[in-house]
Amino acid sequence: MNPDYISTKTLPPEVASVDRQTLQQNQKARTSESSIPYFRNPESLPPRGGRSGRGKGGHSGMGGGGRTVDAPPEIIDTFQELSGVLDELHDRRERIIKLSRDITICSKRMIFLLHRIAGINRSKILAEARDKQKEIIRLFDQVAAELKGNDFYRHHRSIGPGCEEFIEAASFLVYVERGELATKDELQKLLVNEEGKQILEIADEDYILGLADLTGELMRYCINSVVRGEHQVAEDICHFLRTMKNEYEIIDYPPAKKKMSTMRSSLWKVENACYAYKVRGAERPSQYFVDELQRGESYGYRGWEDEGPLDAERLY
Amino acid sequence: MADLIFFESIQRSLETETELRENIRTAVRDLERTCRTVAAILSQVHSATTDSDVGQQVNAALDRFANIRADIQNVAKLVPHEQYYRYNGMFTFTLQQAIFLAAYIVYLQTEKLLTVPQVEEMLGVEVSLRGTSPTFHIGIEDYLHGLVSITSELSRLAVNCVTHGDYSRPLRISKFVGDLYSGFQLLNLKNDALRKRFDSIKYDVKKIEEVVYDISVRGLAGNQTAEKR
Repeated sequence: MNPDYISTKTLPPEVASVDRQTLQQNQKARTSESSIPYFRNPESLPPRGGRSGRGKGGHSGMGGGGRTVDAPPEIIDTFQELSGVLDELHDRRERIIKLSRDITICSKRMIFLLHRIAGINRSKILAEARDKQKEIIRLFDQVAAELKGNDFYRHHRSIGPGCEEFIEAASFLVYVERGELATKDELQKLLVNEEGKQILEIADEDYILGLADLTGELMRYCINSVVRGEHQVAEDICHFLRTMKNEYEIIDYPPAKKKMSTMRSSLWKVENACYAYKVRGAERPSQYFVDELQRGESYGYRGWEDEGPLDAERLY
Repeated sequence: MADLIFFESIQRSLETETELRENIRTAVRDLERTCRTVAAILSQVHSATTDSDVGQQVNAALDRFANIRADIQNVAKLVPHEQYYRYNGMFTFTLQQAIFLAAYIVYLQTEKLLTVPQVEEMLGVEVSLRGTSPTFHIGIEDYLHGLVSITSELSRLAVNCVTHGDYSRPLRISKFVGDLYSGFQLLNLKNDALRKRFDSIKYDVKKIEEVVYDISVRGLAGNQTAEKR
């Protein structure tokens, strides 16, 4: 909306009856009169100068400059300062969200990498995964400066998804390596930069949610293990998931509760897979079973994973 | 097999947090109640017929600000150091309401925009626009939300002034709200709550303009000012 339009309306009524020319002159006078302090005294706008030093001044002033000439300078000054602060805040949030996304992508790749483990390539893949993990930690190092003190919780919603994904990937690596649940302290110790300084604290909430996602990965890992014929691995996972699920039932944290149903169905799939292995493995030579499961991987397995526990019947 | 005992410690820390949230919620509810009382006093401005009536209501409201300050302090002391933004969602709305009340009072007294030092004085809380303060503070978004809120109240006031026969105030309100709107136009807003509220200012501006038009077209504004002076 054009403020000039407003100001015409606020003119006393007699002006409305005067001819157009006078009105325009009147307006011109108003405009130039109030625009003088605005343009002649750039020193009266300290925030603007300060901001352009950071390279954002032009950007924020662009939209409003022409329209706001008739507002009193104190309002212009106040809002120009506010505008600079607001831009700074938005830019920072944007940067954090971008890095959080990078962290998520990198973590997902690390998880996919770990799923490719199959006997012989184990040590090679673990080494690659550790490299990936270092890459993620470097990303955290970049974002850490923006999350000091107050800013950690301020931008927690922006960085949270990245943190969760990292916890999922890192704890998955720990499980694949040692068959244990990664503790929060252990994960925190990973988040150090090259000088050995702590980059970031891990929030309890992120830890809880990250581990909830881990159960989904463990389910996939278990199915893959069954397919490879590593029965013991599958049974360990089954036991592990069951304990974890029981522990989760106690936790009173609403967002975690939402993930509980996924966790239950993951456990159900794993239990079914172990059952199928037991039944089929006992009545046929094990090589035969492995062949069958491997055939399943090429067409049946994906559907099993995506469509829920009942699909496990395809194995019978 | 994994040792899962440490889940307990997390559960314990989550419980402590829930408890803290519970306490903050109670304190915020008190603050909310006080704000509502002040808002109720201020809403009588709409039925005040003379400037001295307005002044009386404003002073009565100002007296209650001591309670608002005390209530805010009660919330503030519950929030742990450097965790302001962890709990900020629980009281941000109420803080905005308090800032709005302060802005409204300042407008009624001086017909000027509430400044940052005035916020600090009236609410007894530090304003940290960049949000760098590690303790309880008011951030830029709360301040701006508080300012946006006065436009709708002022558009209502403009209408009611006319009913009481005060034809000059709507003109001044129109100028003020127009200026405020120009100020907000200087901000690069994201597609968030503040943006939505900013978008609604124009309806208030329009309403006030209609009032000004009605007065102007009937030549009422001139008469009133002439009478008064």
